[in-house]
Amino acid sequence: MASNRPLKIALLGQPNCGKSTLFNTLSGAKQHIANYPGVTVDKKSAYFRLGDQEVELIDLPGIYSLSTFSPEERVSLAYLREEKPDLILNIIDASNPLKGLYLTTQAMEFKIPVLLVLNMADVAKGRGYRYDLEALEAQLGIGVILCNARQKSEKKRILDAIQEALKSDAPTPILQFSEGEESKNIAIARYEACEKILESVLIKDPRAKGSLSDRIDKIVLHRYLALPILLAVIYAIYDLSIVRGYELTNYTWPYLAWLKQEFVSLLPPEHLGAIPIWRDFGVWMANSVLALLNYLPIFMILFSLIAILEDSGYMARMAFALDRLFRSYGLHGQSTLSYVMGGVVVGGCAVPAIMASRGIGDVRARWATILTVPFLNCLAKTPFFVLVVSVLFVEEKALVMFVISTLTVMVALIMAKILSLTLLRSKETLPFVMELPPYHLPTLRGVLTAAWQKVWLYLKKVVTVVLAVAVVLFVLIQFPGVSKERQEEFDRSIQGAYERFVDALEGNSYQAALNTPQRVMALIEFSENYKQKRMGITTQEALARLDEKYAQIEPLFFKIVRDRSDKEAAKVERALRQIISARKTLFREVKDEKIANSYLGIAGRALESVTQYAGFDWKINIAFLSSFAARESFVATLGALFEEVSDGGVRPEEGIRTQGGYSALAGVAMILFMALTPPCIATIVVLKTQLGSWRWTLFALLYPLLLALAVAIGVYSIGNALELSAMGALLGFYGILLALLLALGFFPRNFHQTLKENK
Amino acid sequence: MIIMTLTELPHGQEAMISEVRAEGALLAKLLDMGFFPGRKIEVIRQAPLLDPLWVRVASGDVGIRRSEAMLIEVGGGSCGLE
Repeated sequence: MASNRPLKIALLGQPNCGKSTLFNTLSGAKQHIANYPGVTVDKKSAYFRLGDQEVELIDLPGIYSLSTFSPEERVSLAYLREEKPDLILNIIDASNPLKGLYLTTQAMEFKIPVLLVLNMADVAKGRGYRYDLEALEAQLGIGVILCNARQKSEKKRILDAIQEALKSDAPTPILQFSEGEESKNIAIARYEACEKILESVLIKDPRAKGSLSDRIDKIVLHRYLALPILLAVIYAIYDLSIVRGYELTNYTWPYLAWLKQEFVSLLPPEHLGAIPIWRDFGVWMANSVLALLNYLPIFMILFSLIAILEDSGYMARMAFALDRLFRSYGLHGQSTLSYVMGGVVVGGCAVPAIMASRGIGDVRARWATILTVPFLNCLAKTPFFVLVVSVLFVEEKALVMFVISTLTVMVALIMAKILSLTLLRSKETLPFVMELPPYHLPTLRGVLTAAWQKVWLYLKKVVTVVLAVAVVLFVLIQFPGVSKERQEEFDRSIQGAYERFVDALEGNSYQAALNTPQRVMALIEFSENYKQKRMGITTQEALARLDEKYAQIEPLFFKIVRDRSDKEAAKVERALRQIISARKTLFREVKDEKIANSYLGIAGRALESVTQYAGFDWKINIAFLSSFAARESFVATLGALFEEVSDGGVRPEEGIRTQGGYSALAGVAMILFMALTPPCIATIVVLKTQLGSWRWTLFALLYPLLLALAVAIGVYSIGNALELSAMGALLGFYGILLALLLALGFFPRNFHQTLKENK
Repeated sequence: MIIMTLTELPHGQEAMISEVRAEGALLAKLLDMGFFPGRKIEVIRQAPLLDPLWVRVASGDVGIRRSEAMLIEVGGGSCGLE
């Protein structure tokens, strides 16, 4: 075979047979994920070396048969026909071979060599299954290997078998069909042939007991226990990932902060009178990246747990248990995974949730899922809710948080129902006919690989986009900047502060060392750095070490900053504190004015004409606009806008409480707006890849926006008109939602049925 | 042999599939899942909200909504008696 072109090997198999495990075992970490043209089906491929030959391994989507009813099947069929791979690596579950063998007989009809991998040998053995491999090879006329793809030690054996199979001829199909034979008859004949083959090659030990899986399900899917267990599992996921994960970020955050510090020290230094724009930009970008990286521990835990649920087979049982509920709202049992990831309870992320929706076979339910998942509680919205709730609802914190998190699920379900009854009506629907695989113990490596792959995808797709948006936002906030006259005024006042500093040093022995603005700036920097380092120090010994270090860097500066006994130094220190504080105040004024004059500020003011009816002023508008890039920036932006002018040490909560003057009702409007607010940029990117059309993506962006605005304005105006308390307005709206949810759940009762009859 | 739909089959009782009254994509899906005429079938349990059903066929376990289970006809009892 020519060695200049990579060999192509297509991996074919049904879902849940260990196909991805085999793919990972063979390919290692280097994988490429793309989309097949025109459809939202993942095209996963990887390269690896086989002897001296380069091999491209293509992971075809998991399918049960090679017909043309689903996009996954059409994609696989087209690939095998048009790309003509050098080998079909067909994997089936040895513990449940009948369905898999059905696909094998189809795979043998492409005039391409086939290697059959009987996976999960351990499970099959546990069930008392024994294969006569030679007989199976003889009957099929292809190579067969029995193995555990989960074990890395099996890799060499599989590779050897592949090399052997590459040399073999294309097999003769098991069955011959005449043209125009009815597909149902073909299927039956194929099935019979598979049964017959298995009868002669598979020996089942009659002593093997009813499987463990059945016994577990007797409890897990017990009529009355099933739902409590399911709730407990969901609660455990949240507790472990969101709560414990958040605690974990307390340990990871210092490293990120250190990273930022190191990065910032590379940026152009501050001048006495101004901060260079590149420094501002660098800090802005660093903050944007850090805000996202901070969530990594949570995502890693969340994705690992979800991988465990999927691998173990419990996810399929969740879908089974909840299908009835989801179906009432136009969704599907398989929507469970997306809803769990999206944040049914406390906080999730729409990005992985939307990516997970591709497993939903029912097209209409899949679209309804994709379009409503962004309503669910995004993890990054949580800081905002905490902020507003702790400012405006000090007494009823827990109740309001509960209302918020359940409210979003209700809205998502209501919208799913409305959409599937209206706009999505014409989409194909496929009933719930779903394989329920036996339980299966996940491996640590498998779980970590799956979790890491998702995290990596998140990093690549999201970080790049969020960075791009951060650049745009920076420009929108920085420009056009303050007017020339104002800038001159600012320059004059910093000059004044400098002159006051110089005057204070008159006759001081340190005067000679601080006779230029540059030297003064160096002293300011020294003092600020020292203070910053000192904040992290808790022990006397560490403080002594720090002092020693700084005394060496600049003995003179150190004396000024630290030496209380030297009267002259103490005098300089007082003057230094004054100039530092004057500088800070000034910079904050410049920043405030810059934001107010910026393009974003102009937009925020322009929007006031609409948003005033919801009680939002331009500052809130700006915060919402900037939170579009990443939700966490809302709190950051608001924090920046409300920083106390005299002292930066106040938390944003305080600033908003004392200066904002927002009524509690406006707070409710803000909460509702944020809860329903359209998906962030990162979500939109994923929406586009999943919906495959810009028109739908635009719709997915605009309809929540209009809904959020309408709800915020409605609640604020009606609440004001009726003189409702904030709590009254929130609970009133909640009650209306609850009624709507129940009404839609029961009406029309069997709309799937009605639709079918209408056709 | 009494013919009934899969929804009427008592849980835990084996029966024989006599007919699958579906076509197109649904038929293909049902065949993929192993609902072949002449093969054994058993309803193991129902979901806690009473729907869907957990069904066992030769090629494995399948969850199926009642609305689709109505399309599958079974000959009840005949397999159970030996």
